[in-house]
Amino acid sequence: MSTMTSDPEHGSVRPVVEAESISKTFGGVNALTDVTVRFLPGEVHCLAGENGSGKSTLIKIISGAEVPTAGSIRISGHAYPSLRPQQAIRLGVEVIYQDFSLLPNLDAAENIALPLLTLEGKRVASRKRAMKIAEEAIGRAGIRLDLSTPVGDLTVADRQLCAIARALAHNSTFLAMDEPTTALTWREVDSLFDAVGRLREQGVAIAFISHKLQEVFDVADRVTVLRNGRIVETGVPSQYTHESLSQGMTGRKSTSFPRSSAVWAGKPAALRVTGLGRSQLFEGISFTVGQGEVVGLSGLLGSGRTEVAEAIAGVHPADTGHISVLGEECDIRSVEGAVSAGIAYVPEDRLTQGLFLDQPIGDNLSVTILSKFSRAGRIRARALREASRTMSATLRIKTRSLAAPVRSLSGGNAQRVLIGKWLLREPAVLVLNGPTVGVDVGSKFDILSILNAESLRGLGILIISDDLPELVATCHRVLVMRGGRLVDELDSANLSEATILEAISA
Amino acid sequence: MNDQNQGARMGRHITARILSAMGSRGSLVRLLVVSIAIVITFSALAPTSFLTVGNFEFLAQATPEVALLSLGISLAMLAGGIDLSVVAIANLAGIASGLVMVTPIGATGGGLALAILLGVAVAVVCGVINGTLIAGLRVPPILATLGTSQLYGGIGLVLSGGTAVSALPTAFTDFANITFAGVPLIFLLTLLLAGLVAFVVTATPVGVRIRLLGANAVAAEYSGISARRVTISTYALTGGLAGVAGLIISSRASSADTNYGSSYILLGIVVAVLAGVNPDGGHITITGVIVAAIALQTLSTGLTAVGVSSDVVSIAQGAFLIAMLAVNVYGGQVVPLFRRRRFRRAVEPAPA
Repeated sequence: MSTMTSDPEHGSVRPVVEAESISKTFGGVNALTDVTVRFLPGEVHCLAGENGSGKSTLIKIISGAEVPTAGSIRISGHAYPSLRPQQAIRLGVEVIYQDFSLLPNLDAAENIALPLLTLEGKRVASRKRAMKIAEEAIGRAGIRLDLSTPVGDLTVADRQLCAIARALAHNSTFLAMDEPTTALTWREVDSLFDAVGRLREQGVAIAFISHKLQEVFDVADRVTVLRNGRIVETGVPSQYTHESLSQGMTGRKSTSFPRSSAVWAGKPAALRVTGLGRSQLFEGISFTVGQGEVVGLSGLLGSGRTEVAEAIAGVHPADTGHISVLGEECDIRSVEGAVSAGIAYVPEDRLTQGLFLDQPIGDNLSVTILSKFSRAGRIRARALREASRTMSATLRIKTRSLAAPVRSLSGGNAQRVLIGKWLLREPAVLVLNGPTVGVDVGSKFDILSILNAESLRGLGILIISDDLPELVATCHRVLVMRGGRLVDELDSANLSEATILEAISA
Repeated sequence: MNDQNQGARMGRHITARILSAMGSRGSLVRLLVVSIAIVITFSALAPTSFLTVGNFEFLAQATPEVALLSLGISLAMLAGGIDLSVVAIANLAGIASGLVMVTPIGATGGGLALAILLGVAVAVVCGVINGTLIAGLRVPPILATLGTSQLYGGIGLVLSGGTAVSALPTAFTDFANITFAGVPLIFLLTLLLAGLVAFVVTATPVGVRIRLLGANAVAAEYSGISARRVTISTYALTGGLAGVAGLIISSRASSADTNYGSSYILLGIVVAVLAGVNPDGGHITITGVIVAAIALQTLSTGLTAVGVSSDVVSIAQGAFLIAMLAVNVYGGQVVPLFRRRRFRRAVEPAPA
């Protein structure tokens, strides 16, 4: 049952966009059931929910990308049973999807002006006019952006701002953003929120889709929680706590992460890095990760944290310094070398670097142990399948068959596959770059639990992340990088979100 | 509800099933439908020349070289690449072993075996060079193998002195004519090699790595797969298959030349695509390649039987390739339209 709370306060303001009793089924599965949401002008409305809760489907229906099974969309008071994408844009509905849908070879100004020019039916694009439209748009949102840079050369954060400016350029009255902060660091998130605030002042109705709790509290004027395609509750953020909101999204209690205690003292370090350096990127990096220890590595984008991880993993080997695993010095020149030394790396970009999306889940899991499960050049297929199946069960990967492609899995399950493939290899140290980025709250908890369990069995874990609550909850120690150098180390006594934040940005 | 109605519905259901299977890449159903269509068309058009024992014997004789070259190209495609040099490698292998065969050593049994081994070895080395260029120097496969195709062709031309290496020993030229219960030995040999490739691809670590490398080269690197070693193995295997094809060609032609089989490159690509091998890498079907090779060879003998010139055969093959690529891209989108319409029609009379 939908439990839309009535709201006398806003009763007089006419919503820009209303979803009225929307239901949507995909081949017998209910993606949305009787969902009613009103988006008011000058209000940031957060749609919060786990992956698969139906929030993206709702936005797709509003933007005309999907046709609802029942219900209607009301825009500026006029009801539409369904919309076509072009029609929705003309009515002022704009959506910024996770990939931004920008053209990388055109510059920012052209990208911003293009939809408006197309809507106007202009066949010849005037560079001057494009620049004028773009300048106006970024002025309105208070965005600073170099308009003549090709979008392909912009940072992810700037691309996001570019997409917002594009939405503004044709006077959208409704703007939906699908997980806009996924690829941003916290500082970039701040400037995104500034731009969002500016839009709110101008009376734009904003739908902000997120599964990050903190963001909901930071940016939302109103929050609607979705679970399994139904509205669980609607209200203002001040009515909620982190716990109550999380419980609404997941339907279960407790979000505190398990925390391991035992570090295997007296044994050689799982990973010891001494004086590691790579010209122009980082230098003098020295630290250890004990057996059974979980160490965090944080820093801003560009601080060198990813570069250090990729040097240890052999993707881009270091020029100077030493790496030893379980007390044995190893010369790491390639990923292969790192893997055979006992180092496993879960990369930042799960989809392109981590997984073979169209290949079976089973092959994705077993890629690291093909040689181990071969005899006389022939794969022992049954044993290999058994090992993959056991790992899949241990990590509770939700799938009917290991023959299904990884593409069919949700973000959280795909990440489990990626972690599972390395656990099968039984490494001495596991390096994870952003292990819970783009993963919903429930899966995040499970993944951190898995890492905790592995650390109790002696695995050394290095987590590269800027998710502060996650670092505080799971790590024994957190190392902080700035400008290619290790600048701080926070042990458990000094570990809090505030201290990490201070060290990162000092 | 009468039987006729039910029969019609069943018919529609089966049509929809076949259509939907035809839409999916690498579907054996699609392949068989196309093959049967080819056979029926030419049986109807030229019953006297096409539907003869002699024609089918010729088919079984002519298919092996095409099938082996197509298998080689398919392997390169599986790894996300392509090999345009297979025909040049085949001819070079034929010439190299032919030159040994025409010496006095070649007349002996041992000498003949040595010559054959040399031919295959040359082909494997050519493949290793291709793989090294692609994985080591990171030359795009299409350019690397186009270049080496010229290179190997040129070496063949120099070795053979610009003329065909002929007067090969009869022990060698007779090999292509040996039959077992009417089936040519070279056809059985091709099936054996296809089985071997199937084994490598599905049941060995290197085969799985070739597939994963082709599916996503970046993820393969991050998984600790050595792109260099896997790529070189792939092209070496492709080279070896091309080498055997070259020996079969020279055995059938009783001579070796750099000009043989120039149309086989396009044909091999058509076969691979028709079979459902993904040109972007990551998927192969050995059965499909064999069936597709037979189908395409049937198409060209059929066209010859109908009396069109070999130029028109090339046009037909090119058009066929483009049509199959279009089906791969759009097939999946067209078929549901068909099916939905049929489904509705089938449902309407039901609530009685």
